Amino acid sequence: MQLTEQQVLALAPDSGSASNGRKLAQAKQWPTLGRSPRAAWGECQGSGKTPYQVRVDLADFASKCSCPSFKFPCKHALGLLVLAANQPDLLSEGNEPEWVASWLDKRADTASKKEVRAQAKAEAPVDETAQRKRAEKREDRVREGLAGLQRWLEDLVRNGLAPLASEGPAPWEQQASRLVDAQAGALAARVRALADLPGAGEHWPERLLAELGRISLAVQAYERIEQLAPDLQAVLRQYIGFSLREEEVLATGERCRDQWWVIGQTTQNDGRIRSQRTWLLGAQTGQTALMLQFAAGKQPFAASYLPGSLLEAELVFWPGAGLRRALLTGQPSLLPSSASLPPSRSVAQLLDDAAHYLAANPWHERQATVLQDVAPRCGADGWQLVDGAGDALPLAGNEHWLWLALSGGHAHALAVEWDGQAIQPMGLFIGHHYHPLTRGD
Amino acid sequence: MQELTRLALLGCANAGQDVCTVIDTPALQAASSREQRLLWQAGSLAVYLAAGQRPQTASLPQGAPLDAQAEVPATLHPLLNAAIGGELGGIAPWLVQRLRACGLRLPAQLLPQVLDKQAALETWHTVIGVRGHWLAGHNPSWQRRLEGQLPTQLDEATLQRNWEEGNIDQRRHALATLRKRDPALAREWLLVRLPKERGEPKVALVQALKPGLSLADEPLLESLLDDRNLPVRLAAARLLTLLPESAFRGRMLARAQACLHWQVAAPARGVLAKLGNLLNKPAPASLRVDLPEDLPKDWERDGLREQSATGLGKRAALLCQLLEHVPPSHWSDLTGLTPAQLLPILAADEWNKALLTGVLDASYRYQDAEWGAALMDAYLADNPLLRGDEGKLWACLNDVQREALICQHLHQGSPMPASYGLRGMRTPWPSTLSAAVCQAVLADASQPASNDTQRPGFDFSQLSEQLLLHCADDDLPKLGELVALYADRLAQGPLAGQRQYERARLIVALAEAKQTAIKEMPL
Repeated sequence: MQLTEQQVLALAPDSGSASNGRKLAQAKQWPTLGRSPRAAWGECQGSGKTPYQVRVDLADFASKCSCPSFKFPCKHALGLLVLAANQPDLLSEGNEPEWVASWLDKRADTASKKEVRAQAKAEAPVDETAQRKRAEKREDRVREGLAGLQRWLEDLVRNGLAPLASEGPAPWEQQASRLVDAQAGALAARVRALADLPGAGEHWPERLLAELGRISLAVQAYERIEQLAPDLQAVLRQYIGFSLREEEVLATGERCRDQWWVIGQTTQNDGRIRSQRTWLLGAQTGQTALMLQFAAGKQPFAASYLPGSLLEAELVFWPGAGLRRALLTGQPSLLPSSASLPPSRSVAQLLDDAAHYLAANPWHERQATVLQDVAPRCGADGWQLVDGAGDALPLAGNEHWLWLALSGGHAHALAVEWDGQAIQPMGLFIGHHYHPLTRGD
Repeated sequence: MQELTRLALLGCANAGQDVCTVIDTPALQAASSREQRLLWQAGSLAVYLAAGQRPQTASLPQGAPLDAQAEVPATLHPLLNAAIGGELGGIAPWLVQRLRACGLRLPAQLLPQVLDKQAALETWHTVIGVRGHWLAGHNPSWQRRLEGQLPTQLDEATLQRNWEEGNIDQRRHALATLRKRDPALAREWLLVRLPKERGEPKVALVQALKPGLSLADEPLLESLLDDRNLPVRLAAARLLTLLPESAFRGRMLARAQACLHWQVAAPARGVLAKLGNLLNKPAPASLRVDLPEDLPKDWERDGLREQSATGLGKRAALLCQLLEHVPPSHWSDLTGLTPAQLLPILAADEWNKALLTGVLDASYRYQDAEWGAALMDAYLADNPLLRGDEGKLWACLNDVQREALICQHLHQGSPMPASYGLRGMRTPWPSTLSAAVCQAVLADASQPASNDTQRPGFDFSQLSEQLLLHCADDDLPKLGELVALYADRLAQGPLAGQRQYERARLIVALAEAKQTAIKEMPL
């Protein structure tokens, strides 16, 4: 296990927890400390009479603590992990105490039960008539909603987009609510997000029109969805908001076992919902997978993935074309990382990949990869990423000082996310340690 | 896309013609309206452009030059991170010193947070290495901040431009720099500039003369005594009094001598007389204070005022200010008596408060340790006139006096005045002092806790923190018992009180941090 403090603190739900976790990383506060190949544990004296029992599953950094905190991971779990990162010798290898072993066993049990449940659910006899009826009813609603959306879109371009810059978010909110009523949730979120575009940056009319156009294409495509290839159908249905439950994915999704690099992680906060994208790259298959997690407000994400780590695991993919979302299944195991990022692409190859993804799925938005030998360039008109071939792409935002400091402007392999507009650097290895370049929130 | 965007901005209803793009597929013919056609065109074109996107071209930038200095070992990165973030009390200056002694620099990932905060940069700027300077060069505000920290090698032209066009900090800096290179030219600059300045900037520029002050500055400062602005006059007076040969000092001395009339008893001649003197301890001298009724004009010009912050009356305030400008050793020389002999006489006079305050201020200003010690003795003998002046009293002492007095307080079980004295102690503390502080903390801990909630006891954790911060490196291993004391409290958790727990945590963390740093960065 080659943890670093930064990697651990990237798991913290907020900066307060991170700072408190760091303060708790003092051996004196831990009467017991230990580790086994699959877990780390310790007892930390808190404000209660008995010390808190803290345990962390080293496979996926899930943790459990007997403290009453609703934050996850709590400061004690973070403190334990910071200790494990900074002073690994303090956690001596030993037999798991009962309270650790039973928790791990229970987790394994729950995971396998979940799969069994998913399997059972998939195989269970269903009331097909009722199900068809429900589906038809929803189908009608969605079609009605989409027709309304198309009329609204046409109204927008009939009257012109110019006035939108001064109108505020109300029209977008209204239309989004109508789409929620029509059970097209994903599309609703998309329309709501468009409210930020008018007036923002000099290219807003172009970007807004492109987005409206792509939505309109989706509406049109949905009208003749039966004629599309099954993978594209699946993509389109997800784009509109027919979400699949994890059980359904577990039961029917395509599976792929590999050694997966967790190349990076980004988090977005739209005020109501935080969404976290964790990008995996298969060492053997070269496949890219996206793991999405959502959390409301300050709620924690359900699982923790450690950027820079290497996992032996099986993934289950959502149906669809191009770059797909995936889910970890079974018990992943953490492999010793080779302290460098996996084989990587050039800027030209990244754009080629983007073209291929778009060919498979015209609504493709984001991809992630490792770019080879790239350096940051800070110029008068903003930041750029440059590779050895002299190909450059704009960087998102203006805060790339950590990357510049770490790399000293020299070319290194870098994990990035690309949304068609700008590169978001996610992390890199310097001196055998992974340095995340994205902040938790 | 531009044409389409223009049409969409205007609105189909307001524009006559549709736009032709590369996306003119047969499918578009199926569009039922102009609006639908526009949307489909835009959507398809967006996908088309995204799929065909070309990279920009640029060359790889010039990387940072190699750093001959090694980075701090990785095991210390978390510790440094915490220290830079201010989580380890006042350990930062010690760490910086250690890094410098070992010829090490900060790791690259900590540089942005150092450059980003003024306070952090002030402490850490000497260990940011070549990489840190290179990095700051990419960010104008970091660069400015860093330049403010460094003994700048500004060329003449930049210096002159900063002087003429810069803000007050830059002007002050330019003046100070030039003053080191060419004091005469710096004075000329100031002479030209000062008449145009007003208010605080003017005071700041006058104060900038303090480093390298010499008699050559006297004419300029004398002329400033006629300034319309009181703070400027006071600033000039404060500088003139630092010049022993200045006419200003001479004037003050003459005034003080005219006000304080000493009558020194003639030395006893005969054996009997001497014996008699010893038995009766007659006052060796007497004092008569003679003050002007009103503030003379020439006194006023030299910055003396009728009011003071100490709550003295008009004439007392004058006396106090006057004495402040006279080195106290003058009075010992004049009377042939020691400070200890003179103080009771000052204290017995009707102007005693003004006399003692003035002499104390002068002892502080001229760093007169002999007078300082005598004043401190008077204070410790509970002289009410010196109450509230502890800070100044301690500041008058030299290190040897200070250490002895601190140890004395600690032995007597009065940690409060000791902690006062420790504040200005030079670091690292002498071993004897560290041992005394350690002993005092342990002695307190061995006593049963006081239940007196009305008068909470002295917080020994403050002393322990100071001890860990300022003890000599060789003395750190001797503090094991003290650290164990706090480690025990830490292991009990926050049960006994959150504050105590937090203090224990800080102290244990400090001790561990210093031990780790000493181990990982051997000298």
